[in-house]
Amino acid sequence: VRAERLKGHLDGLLLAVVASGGPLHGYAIIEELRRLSGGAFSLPEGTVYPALHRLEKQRLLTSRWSTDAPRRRRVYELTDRGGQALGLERQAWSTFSGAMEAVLGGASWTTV
Amino acid sequence: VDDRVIVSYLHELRAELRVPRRLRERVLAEADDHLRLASVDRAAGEDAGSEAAQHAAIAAFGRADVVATRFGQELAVGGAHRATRAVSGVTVAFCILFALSTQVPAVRAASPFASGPYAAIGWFAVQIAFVCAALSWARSLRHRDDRVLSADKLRWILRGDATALGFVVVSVGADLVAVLRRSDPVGAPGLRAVLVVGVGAVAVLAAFAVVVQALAHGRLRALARVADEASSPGDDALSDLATLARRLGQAAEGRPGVGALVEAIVRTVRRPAVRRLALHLNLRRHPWRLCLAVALCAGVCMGLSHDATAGLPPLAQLPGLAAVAALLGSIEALAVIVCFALLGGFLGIRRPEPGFRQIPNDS
Repeated sequence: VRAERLKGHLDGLLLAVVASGGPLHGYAIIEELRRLSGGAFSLPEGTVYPALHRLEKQRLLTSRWSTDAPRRRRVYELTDRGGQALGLERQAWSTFSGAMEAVLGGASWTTV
Repeated sequence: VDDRVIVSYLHELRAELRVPRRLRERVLAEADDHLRLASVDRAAGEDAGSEAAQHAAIAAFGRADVVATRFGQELAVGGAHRATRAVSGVTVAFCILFALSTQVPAVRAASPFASGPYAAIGWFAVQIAFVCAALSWARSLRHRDDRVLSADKLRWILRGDATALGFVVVSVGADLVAVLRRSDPVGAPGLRAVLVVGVGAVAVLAAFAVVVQALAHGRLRALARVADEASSPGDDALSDLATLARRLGQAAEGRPGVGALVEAIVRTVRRPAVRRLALHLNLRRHPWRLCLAVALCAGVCMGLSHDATAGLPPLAQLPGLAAVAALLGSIEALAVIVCFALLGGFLGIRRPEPGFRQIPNDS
């Protein structure tokens, strides 16, 4: 899936990944996104960090330096506000994908 | 471990990042961690050599200038919205102060800057500042949820802000001069003190807005050096104002009185005759027609407001009053046209538009 197609959905995807995996560092978030999407969502990895920083600024994520690993590592967690935003995002996506499916998936295609 | 490739990339990224120092250090630490993990994974998974794995990790991470630009865009967009909020706040405060000092007789009598050249500067500044701040606010509101904005669009927002702020600063400066020069007490001293405090407060707010604006300009300058997408055709002030009108309409929905008024306006705009007129005028394609329409409205409003404030005169004085109203209205209309000629291009209202679209039928 091309990166342009993910525009507008990236924030929701990142919130969902962080919600599913607990405190995660940037690389783990990207790997988890790739794994959950079966390799379909492969973004320029460096451009995910500005999105993570923005979500943190919007107080949807919170981050801290973790010292569990041998190297100092920044890990991200979902906030309550982020959980609410994710709920809204899921609701909006459900409506949208249902409508798309009804139009694109439900139509009977005739071959000539 | 030989990590020369990653270290070299991080040097490049450091040079490209135009962000505050603290953020830069954090971004570099995260990138460093990411690239080391990714290169270890690739070396193990693809059975690649250390250097090849580092190159592959960097390729997946993205070019340093692309990553740095994305951070720059995030900061520039946030900075532009902040600047617009600050300038809008200052402009509203300035407009309220100006309205109080010129329209309320008791306050006007006590005001050191409600007459003479100070008032003339204020009249001129308040109108331009209000229009420019409103345009920028409409643009900022329209792009509020956009994560990335082209430098072009950010530039229009910040130029509107800067122009509004410039006129507020000039007018407040003139007001402060008036306060210093006209120290003789006129009107109620309490009201004069309130006005002086008010001007001081607006001056402080304006100073704060100047700082916010300067920071936003700095971020835009850092961003503007990279290749930029052009604004799409038809993407102009009318689109901004249409978005503003739509949002105001949504906010008014269901509110008694206001909701009915909005519905009446929408019904009027959707009438076939109005649509035909809009298509005929094609204001997107002809910005000068837009200017003349606005000038006409402004002139009529100015003339009518003069008549309203003057009250109903004896019949014999009606022609004189009408002539004064017509003269004031003409001056106002002329001022709008001159301002449009001088500032329209700078603010992105009057742009060279080789491919502006017709107004769509459903707009």
